[in-house]
Amino acid sequence: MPYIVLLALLIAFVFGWNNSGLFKGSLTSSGLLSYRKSTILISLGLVLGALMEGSKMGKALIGSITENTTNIALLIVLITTFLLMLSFTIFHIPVSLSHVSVGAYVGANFAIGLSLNTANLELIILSWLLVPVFSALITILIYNFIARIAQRFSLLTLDAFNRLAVILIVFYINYALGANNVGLIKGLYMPLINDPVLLELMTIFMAVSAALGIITFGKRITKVVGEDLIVLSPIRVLTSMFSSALLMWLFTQFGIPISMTQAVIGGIFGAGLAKRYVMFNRAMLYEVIGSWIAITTISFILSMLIMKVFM
Amino acid sequence: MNVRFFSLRKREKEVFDFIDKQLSLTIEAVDHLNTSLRYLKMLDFEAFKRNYSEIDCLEKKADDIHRKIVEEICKGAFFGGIREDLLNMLEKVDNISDSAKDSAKILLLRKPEDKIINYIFANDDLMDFFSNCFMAVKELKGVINGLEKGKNFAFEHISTVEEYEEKADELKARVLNRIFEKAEEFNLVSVMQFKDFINIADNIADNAEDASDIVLILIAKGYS
Repeated sequence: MPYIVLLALLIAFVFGWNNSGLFKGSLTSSGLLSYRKSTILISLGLVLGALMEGSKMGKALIGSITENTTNIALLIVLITTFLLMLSFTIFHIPVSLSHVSVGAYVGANFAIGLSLNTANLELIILSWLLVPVFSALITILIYNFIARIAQRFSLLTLDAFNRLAVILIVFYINYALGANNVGLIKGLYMPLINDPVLLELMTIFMAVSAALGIITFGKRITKVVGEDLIVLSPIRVLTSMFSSALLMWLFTQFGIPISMTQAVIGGIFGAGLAKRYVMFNRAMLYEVIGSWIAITTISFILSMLIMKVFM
Repeated sequence: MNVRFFSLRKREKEVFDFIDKQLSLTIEAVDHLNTSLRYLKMLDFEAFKRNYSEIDCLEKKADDIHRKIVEEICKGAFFGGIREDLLNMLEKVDNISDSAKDSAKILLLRKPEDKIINYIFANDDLMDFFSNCFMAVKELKGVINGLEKGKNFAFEHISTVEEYEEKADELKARVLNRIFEKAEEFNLVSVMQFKDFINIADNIADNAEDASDIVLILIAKGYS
């Protein structure tokens, strides 16, 4: 069990390093909050999300894709997830914790011959395909609404609105990430910890570990997802970020793990399409989409191979 | 929620108040340049010199305020996405008072002979040129203040700034043509002095137009 706990904390750290840099960048690069304050806001969002709604993801893998699993399979899932998250992060590629852990979970359990609930697995994969589409649609709706209201604002009011929105949205995004993604990892060690107090403490440690990952290394991934992909105005960026957080929160209510990167990219395209003109980096887009498919496949194969070695 | 929301505007409102002050000083400096020209027309070079020190003082005050505004913006006033454009706009505003001062300084270097002064002021083209420069700057104030009131208010003034700038350009060309038509009759140094004076003064209207163009960028970025 100590290994599993340690691995879960390490995954949370790398997850923070890889994913949440996107949202810290919005706060620090806009100069809206100091480094310390933005770190507190992000950590608070992650901790609250994981504590208040993380348990909704408790059966996202165990009890959904398989009825049950073995401790060794759980260990392999966590090792695979950690190794892949770390490798992709080192090479500055945004990677989804949901894709990696679902791929690894299916691979490990497939290797030991446990029967997989294909209906639930299909539902998760379908969700992944629909997330960018939903995110784009929600962004278009919200953008059109906000842009219409904004026409009545003076530049000063608009500026204040943007700055307040960034703070609230960054908090909400981290809350949703805490609930969905930190909750997903929580679901993997939950069966091993019987003490509810220890379980909650562990959730806090996980969220803090993710926050440490953001604090230490957040900036590079931010640039890959945000700046290199598309050129957008503040309102569009904010609406795409809000839609992504809203979508992740909604999927959390159904216990479905999704990728924030996918949601954000869908949202960014929605924001671009809302005005029918958009400048985007096609090569970067293909790289990100390719990585979604590749990462899940690699995770599945790697986890299966490691499992075979252990068996 | 409302209290917090509006306190988010406090720092930015202060910056806008400073911008308004900077613009008022700039307008005053350009207005003093007009007055200086009137003295020159009356061949009162001493009064021209005295008035220059007023322009110099106003330019320094505008410069100090500009520095304060830049400091505030660099400390984090306004949303990151528009900061660079705001700084560029303020730089253009700063260039206006600089141009007013620099153009007057050219004539201050040496007193042009009365003959050329009388010739240039024989018609109203030069005074009209300066009136248009002045009006362009005045309208610019309306454009920038409009940002506090809404984008439509700013739009109304942007096209007027452009009109004044175009008219100033036209008058500048006319004045220069007139001077060079009879250049041989005057002292060459005086001719070059007036040429430089008019070219530098023309930057007043050019910078006003550039600043109003940046306001368009601010609107495009902010509201789209």
